[in-house]
Amino acid sequence: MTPLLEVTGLHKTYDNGVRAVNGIDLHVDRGETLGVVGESGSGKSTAARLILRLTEPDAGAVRLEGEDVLAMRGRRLREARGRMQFVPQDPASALNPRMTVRQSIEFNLRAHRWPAPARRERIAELLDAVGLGAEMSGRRPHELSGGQVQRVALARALATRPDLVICDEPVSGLDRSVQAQVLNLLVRLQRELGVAMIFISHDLTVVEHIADRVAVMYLGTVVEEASAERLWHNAMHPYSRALLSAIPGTSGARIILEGDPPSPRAVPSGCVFSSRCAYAIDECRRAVPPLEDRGAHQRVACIRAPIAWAELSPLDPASLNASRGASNGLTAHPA
Amino acid sequence: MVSTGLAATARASSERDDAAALAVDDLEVVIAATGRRVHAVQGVSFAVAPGGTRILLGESGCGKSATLRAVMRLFGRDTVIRGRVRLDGHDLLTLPDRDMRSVRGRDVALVPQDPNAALDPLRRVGGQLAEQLRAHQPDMGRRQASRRAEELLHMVRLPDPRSAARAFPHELSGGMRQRVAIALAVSCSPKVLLADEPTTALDVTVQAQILELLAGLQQTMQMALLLVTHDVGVVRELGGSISVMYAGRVVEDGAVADVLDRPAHPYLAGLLASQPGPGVARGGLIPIAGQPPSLEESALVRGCAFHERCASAREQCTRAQPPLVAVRPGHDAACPVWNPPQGGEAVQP
Repeated sequence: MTPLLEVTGLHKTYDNGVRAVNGIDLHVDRGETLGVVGESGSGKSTAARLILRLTEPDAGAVRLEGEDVLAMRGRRLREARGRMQFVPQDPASALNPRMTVRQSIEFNLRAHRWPAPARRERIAELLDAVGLGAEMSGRRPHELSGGQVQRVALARALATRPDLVICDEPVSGLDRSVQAQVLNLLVRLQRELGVAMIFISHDLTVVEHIADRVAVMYLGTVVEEASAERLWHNAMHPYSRALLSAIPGTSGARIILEGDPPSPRAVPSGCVFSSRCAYAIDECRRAVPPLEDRGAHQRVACIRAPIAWAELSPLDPASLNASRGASNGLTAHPA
Repeated sequence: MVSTGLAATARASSERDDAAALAVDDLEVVIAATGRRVHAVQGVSFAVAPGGTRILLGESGCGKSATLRAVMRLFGRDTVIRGRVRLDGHDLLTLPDRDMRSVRGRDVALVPQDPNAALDPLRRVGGQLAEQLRAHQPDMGRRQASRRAEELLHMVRLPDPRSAARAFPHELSGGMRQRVAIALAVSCSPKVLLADEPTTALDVTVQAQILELLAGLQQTMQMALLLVTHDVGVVRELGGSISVMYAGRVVEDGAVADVLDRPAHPYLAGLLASQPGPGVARGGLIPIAGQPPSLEESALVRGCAFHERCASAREQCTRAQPPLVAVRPGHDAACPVWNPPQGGEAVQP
């Protein structure tokens, strides 16, 4: 069956030399939630913008139910965008400060040619669905709390009855107690409406909670993709494992990575993670490892991954710490 | 040193605090903001043992950062700070400005959330460190200061301390800048290190490095650590003692493990039930209704500031602010109403 969204070989290098997205393949089935997790500079937000054609990719394909989105123009592109909606990262700048809640939602409906009477009905329906009282419809963004702004952004995105909503860090600016409200709302709406979702976040606990499948991104590439549960319990890529073990407050051996991710202007040759990887061998720096199927719908881009981790000494945190200082944390390139 | 007119409880707590590296007693902060007065901190007390850790946990607007800034006396003249902040037998709040200047950085130092706030963008990192060293140790020569600066950069595990010393802040990554800010804070071996959300702006893998670094430095330098965070994971990671803050007050206080495993205030229980994690069913988070009050709002609430969001609130909760009382030895909470379920798991207000 054709997936709802299929992304293949997507590339984007910005004019300033930042190689933001470096050949990613993703797919989303109907009604499914794909989590995309990664640190700053991993290309996750750019990937969202490329899929929505808010930024034009250099190469690759984006297919919505088999139709090439990148080849669309005019009315067909508008229709495709009505089916793929966006909840951007910063809820405060996502809404026009001079528009009321009603106007913000209506703007989207009008852009997609909804007639006036249907718009009114739809707005009332949407406010109710995201748990905002009708009295909120006349308010402007500065009169709303962070959680309420995020609900409005969500109502606006759902207005056109999309098949797919791409949420970029939708809860990261919120306090935990409020974040839980919005997460529950997302889950409920998704179940009721059957809408598919791409949920982008740097917070692995949130992604694990909400996603069916998770793609782990590092420096513009997907290094691992698996069901949320499988990733949580049986991550294979060394970066995924480090990311999981770095979550504060979790038990288990901590893998502390050296340094920071290299700059996306100077991506290491071969495996993008090789400059920080405790398991990297010369071969890792020679060729980009393909994202290979490892069974149970788990795909991993690591030539070292099939080895049992316990047999490799670097997993012992003591030996990792011992190697500190002499390493390449500062440099973007492997030596 | 405590006047005899004070209640017996206050005397008992002050005797306990005498051994503390830092003791904050009944702290009040009233910030004057464009025509309004915001009562940001309302009677906060806690102590940090020498070499020990105390964490202030709370959401935005709870007064946790204002508490840190009051300890450092970083507010302007129009902000009123009352209470006592005792460090080494001195009350920092009564020190003359000049003495306070030499206390800052030498006896108590701050790692801010945003390292850029601690660093001068136009000066090389090594020069800033050397200046700080010489400001507190006038007999230290230039060459000695810059050598010590490099040692400090090595101590915070910058991979190449010599070239880092010659770098401008913008030439370093966010994680490296935070390391430099930490080096600056610990340069004069303070007895107490304050840290305001020191890892919030950082990526997860870098956050793990910085937490490990802070804990390591604390141990080798025998510093007391007072750290502000909103992240329950960070609290678990660091351990020590915790003060849970809500709307300008401490609502729960005790040892981290005990408080997180057996919360005695419905706010903390609710906060814990709002955390996603393995084993929590999708859509099964139990959020707290509403949102935390802003600093302005929290001073206006009558009774317990949490009652509007609390499922267990009763009529009495709307009348008076409940005091912090012991629920078990070493664990205080400010809720006389809520009874935590027995057995501990999945507590709900």
